[in-house]
Amino acid sequence: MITVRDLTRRFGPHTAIEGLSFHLERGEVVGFLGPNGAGKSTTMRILSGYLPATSGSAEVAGFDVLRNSLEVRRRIGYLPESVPLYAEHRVEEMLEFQGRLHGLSRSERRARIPRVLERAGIADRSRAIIGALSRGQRQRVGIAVALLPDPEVLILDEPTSGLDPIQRLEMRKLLVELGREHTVLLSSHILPEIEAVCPRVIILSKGSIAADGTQDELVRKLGGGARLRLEALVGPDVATAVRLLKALPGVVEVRDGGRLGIHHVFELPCAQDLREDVGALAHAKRWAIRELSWQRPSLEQLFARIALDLPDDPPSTVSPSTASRAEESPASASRTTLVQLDVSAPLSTSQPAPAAAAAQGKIVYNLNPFDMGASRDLSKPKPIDGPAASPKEDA
Amino acid sequence: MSGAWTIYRRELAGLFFSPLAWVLLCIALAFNGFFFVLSVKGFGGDVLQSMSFLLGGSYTFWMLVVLLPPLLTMRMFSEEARTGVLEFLLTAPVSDFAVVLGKLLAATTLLAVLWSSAFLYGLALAALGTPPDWAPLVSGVCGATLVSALFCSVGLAISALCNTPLLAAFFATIANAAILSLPFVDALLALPPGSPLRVALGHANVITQFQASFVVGALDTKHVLFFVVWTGFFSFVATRVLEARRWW
Amino acid sequence: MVVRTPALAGRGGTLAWSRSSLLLQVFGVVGLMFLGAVLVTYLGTLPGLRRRFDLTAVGSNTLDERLAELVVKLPEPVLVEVFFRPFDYPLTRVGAQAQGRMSQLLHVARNQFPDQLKVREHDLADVAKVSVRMKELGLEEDNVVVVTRGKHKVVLRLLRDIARIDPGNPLVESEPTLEAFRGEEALGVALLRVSIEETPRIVFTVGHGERDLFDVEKPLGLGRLHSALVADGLRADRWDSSADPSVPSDVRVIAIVDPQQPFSSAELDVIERFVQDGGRLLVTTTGNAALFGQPGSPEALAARLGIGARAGFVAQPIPDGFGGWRMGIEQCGTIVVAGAGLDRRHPVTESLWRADERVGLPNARALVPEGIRPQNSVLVDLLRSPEASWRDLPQSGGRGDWRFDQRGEETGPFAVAMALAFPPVDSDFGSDSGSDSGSDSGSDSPSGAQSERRAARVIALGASDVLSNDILARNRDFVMNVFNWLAQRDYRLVIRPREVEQRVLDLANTSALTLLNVLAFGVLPGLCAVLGVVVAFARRR
Repeated sequence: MITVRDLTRRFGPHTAIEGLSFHLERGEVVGFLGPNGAGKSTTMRILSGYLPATSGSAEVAGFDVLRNSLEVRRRIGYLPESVPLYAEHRVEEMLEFQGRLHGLSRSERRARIPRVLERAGIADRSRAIIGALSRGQRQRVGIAVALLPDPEVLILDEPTSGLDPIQRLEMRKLLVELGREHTVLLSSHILPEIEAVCPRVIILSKGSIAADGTQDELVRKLGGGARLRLEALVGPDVATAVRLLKALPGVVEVRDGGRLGIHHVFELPCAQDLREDVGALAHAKRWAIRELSWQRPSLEQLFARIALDLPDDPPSTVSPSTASRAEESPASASRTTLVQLDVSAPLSTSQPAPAAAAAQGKIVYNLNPFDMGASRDLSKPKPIDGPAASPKEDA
Repeated sequence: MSGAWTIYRRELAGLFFSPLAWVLLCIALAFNGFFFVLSVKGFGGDVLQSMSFLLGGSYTFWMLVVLLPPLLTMRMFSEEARTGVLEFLLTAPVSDFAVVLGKLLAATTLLAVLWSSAFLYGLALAALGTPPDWAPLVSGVCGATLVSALFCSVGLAISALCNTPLLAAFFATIANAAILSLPFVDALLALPPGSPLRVALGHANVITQFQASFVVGALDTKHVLFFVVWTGFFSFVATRVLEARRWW
Repeated sequence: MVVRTPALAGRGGTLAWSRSSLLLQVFGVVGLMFLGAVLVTYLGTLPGLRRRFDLTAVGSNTLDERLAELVVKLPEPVLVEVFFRPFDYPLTRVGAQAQGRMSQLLHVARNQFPDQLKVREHDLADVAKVSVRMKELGLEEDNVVVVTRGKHKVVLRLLRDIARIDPGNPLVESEPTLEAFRGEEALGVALLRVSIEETPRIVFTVGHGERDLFDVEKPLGLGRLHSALVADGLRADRWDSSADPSVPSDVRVIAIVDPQQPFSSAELDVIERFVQDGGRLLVTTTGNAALFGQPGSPEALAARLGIGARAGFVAQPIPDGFGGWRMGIEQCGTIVVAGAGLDRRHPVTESLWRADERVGLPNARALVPEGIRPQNSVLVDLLRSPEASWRDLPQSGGRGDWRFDQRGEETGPFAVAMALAFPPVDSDFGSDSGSDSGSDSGSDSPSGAQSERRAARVIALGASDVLSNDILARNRDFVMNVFNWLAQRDYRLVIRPREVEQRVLDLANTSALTLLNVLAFGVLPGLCAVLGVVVAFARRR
């Protein structure tokens, strides 16, 4: 439905997007993720025919956005970030106008306008002057306007910005519904939305695609970061424990997180959930488990990592898996275009030292003199029993 | 061109829903009326002369023609660019030229409404027993509308160029005044008679073009063509400028 | 659609542009459009592609058809210069009126035919500039309109050629009024004159004691006539028929004015032959009583063409101011021909008759048809003395007593000027006759076929003094008509004067003004204000 090839757009010396390529099948719902200034809006504007690309090409519904701009414009419903509406008009007048622009007949307009108002959940304000509506209501009107011509493709630029949490929930519901009928490309920097709505995510960073794929794929491919955390009393023979853990099937390596009070912390990067296996092992070895958890990085963490240019693994540990992922990426690129992983560029090549250092310094801090070297991430809430329990155990 | 028609209807509604249009109309009508009554007295009751005074024969008319179109067109692109509505229009399935055309027609229509107040004056005079010559009255109103269209197209081009309405109005007024004073350039430069530039400037004389036909009630294709062609030209420029907003 | 410039449209999918290149292209396209607009504007001014419709009720923006036809036929653009200056009291108002109408006429003409007519209105306040131009044009008075084409020029005087003014009566405080406005006619005739290339040559015979063509001093000289002819675009000089027995080939008109000595019969033969071949002749009777009617006299020449002259002078009674009539005084010898005395169809007198002009003729002899006229000829009495006139026969002293003597003296009316026209006897003559295009002169020509060739024209005047310096001014229009007819320049145009459409509101009617005021100040702006408030209220946020 949407095919973008090597799209580049420059504003004078500034490059907004560079070498963008992706493809959307009919009926796909794709989220555009990226920090501000990553080029989300620019890409959408190019697709909507508002801006011409500096180079590269984009096709929507089989029409070139530049040469068949009008055809493209007839087939998309585009809601810009600013939600452009004529403030002096009534909601229904705005919809009338949009209907006329798209050449809908009078009967079509009469039938569709109440329907889209209903869908956008703004039917009760159809006679209101747009200028008098709240931000959220306007957003709904904007959605209604974009929906009115029943477009094949919906391009929504930050459709949930400026909404309160409840409205956001409703909007999310609406977007899910829309995803069933239309090809939807929506951008947001609010991740839960994307996570809730879009099976597929394209992450933009600094004008190029940092990641593209379904959420699971992304997490799996990028994240390597899934790991099992074990905090247990393993006795003095830590090396044996490490060996035992490593021997478990599916475990690639075992990192020794060091002592935390009387407990020892292990981290096991692994793709699958091995909690039961580890639990069984601990039971057999009579380790007193304090914590056994399997963590999978969320999209948000991925995004944050990309946005902040952080390395993909926690900074406190070395990253031995880089090589293996690098091997993996060409393979994934040679697979279908549906899943493209272009992770090597931003993640592994650029690791600004200052950022990493700052993160390190921020996260690990020794607070308690009785803590015996235990460190705590200050950005996370204090464990309820943490400081109270450890002295007791010490005593 | 149904797109242009849709835009036109929207713009017209937008104009008439805004108080600005009514304030402008009110002031312009009072201004016009004042000078009309004054001219009737001044011409000793000569109806025909007063009518031609009202439509193109006087400096007051040209003042309105220079000042009003910029005030109407100033917001049409610059304000919309600021609120983002322009992005909506330019991604709607209508061509840029249709957008310009719709806006041009809307602004021109409002001014046509203003000029057709002359018909009411004519009716009043007819009721008083001295009907004006209707044909020149009609041609005068049509001509005034054509002139307004020309200046509106200039205003649109400048509004598309500027980012604030006030700036747009200011530059458009200057541009309009400059167009009106083109013929004086020849006096300023002391061009030799018969030089091509001088001839060209003579043809660019809006006021005489207007007075030689519309005011006296003669429809001359040359003059109609002049206004239509140059309105088209400035609309074209406005379209290009609008387009430049996309790629600049 | 978005960008029509080639750099974006081409290269199959991939495109590349920079802002500067696009900017250049846009400037290029806009420049091309500008040139296109200029071109279309220019094409719109071309005569073939231009149409003009007059929407006014009385067609006040359109020239009279016949005048328009004249303008269209102009061989090259004509410059019309206007030298108007406000008149002094009491003509101020009426003068301004006439000037206004003429200016408007020229304005209309210029707008209708911008290619053929250039109108330049001189500002007489700019004395230095204007006086130079006036000197160039040889103007001696202002309030004239000068029509020039190359070296041809015609001067139209505002209060004579363009407008006629009824002087009114200062005693009863009736202001002068515009009696007739003939701007269209005057302009039309002027255009005709300048559009014709030739300057016909008129020769005045000398060697027989005729009036001197170049004498501007003596009351009876013809100097003023000469300058009037020249100003009118004619060429006038002398021809000694006795020294140069053949008529110069380029002569159009021969004028014999008051010879005192007889012509030889050979000379008369030459002149007669000239006329028979389609030449033109102005012959006045001699003032020499001894020569009158003798062989070799002008009367003898006229008699050869069928026009006879009677002895004695035509006289008329003079009103004595008390309702009675006086006779026996010298003034009776000057007859005044007006109204019915003017032939209303002949080109020479028709315009005089229409303008109600008078012709005064001192010492006029009565003319009668006599003898054999040339074949197919038409003889018209141009001027006829009043009914009350009589032919005052000479007493013993040679002069009359200016009293009507019932015995022997006839009463009028008498013809004092006659015009004769006939097709040339020698039909081979007249190869250069195409000059009367555009004029409807040949009206008195007997058959249509003859209008191809130049017809012979003769005017016999019973009074030679009409042409003299002294009274030429009074009869100027008549005299010029005579010469112009003879020179085949009798352009007659009958153009309906433009209607001045006036619709005037009675300002004394205060209720009318009140209504206008209420409408202009109250109703219309008020309506807008109210509508504005209503809209603002209905669409408040």
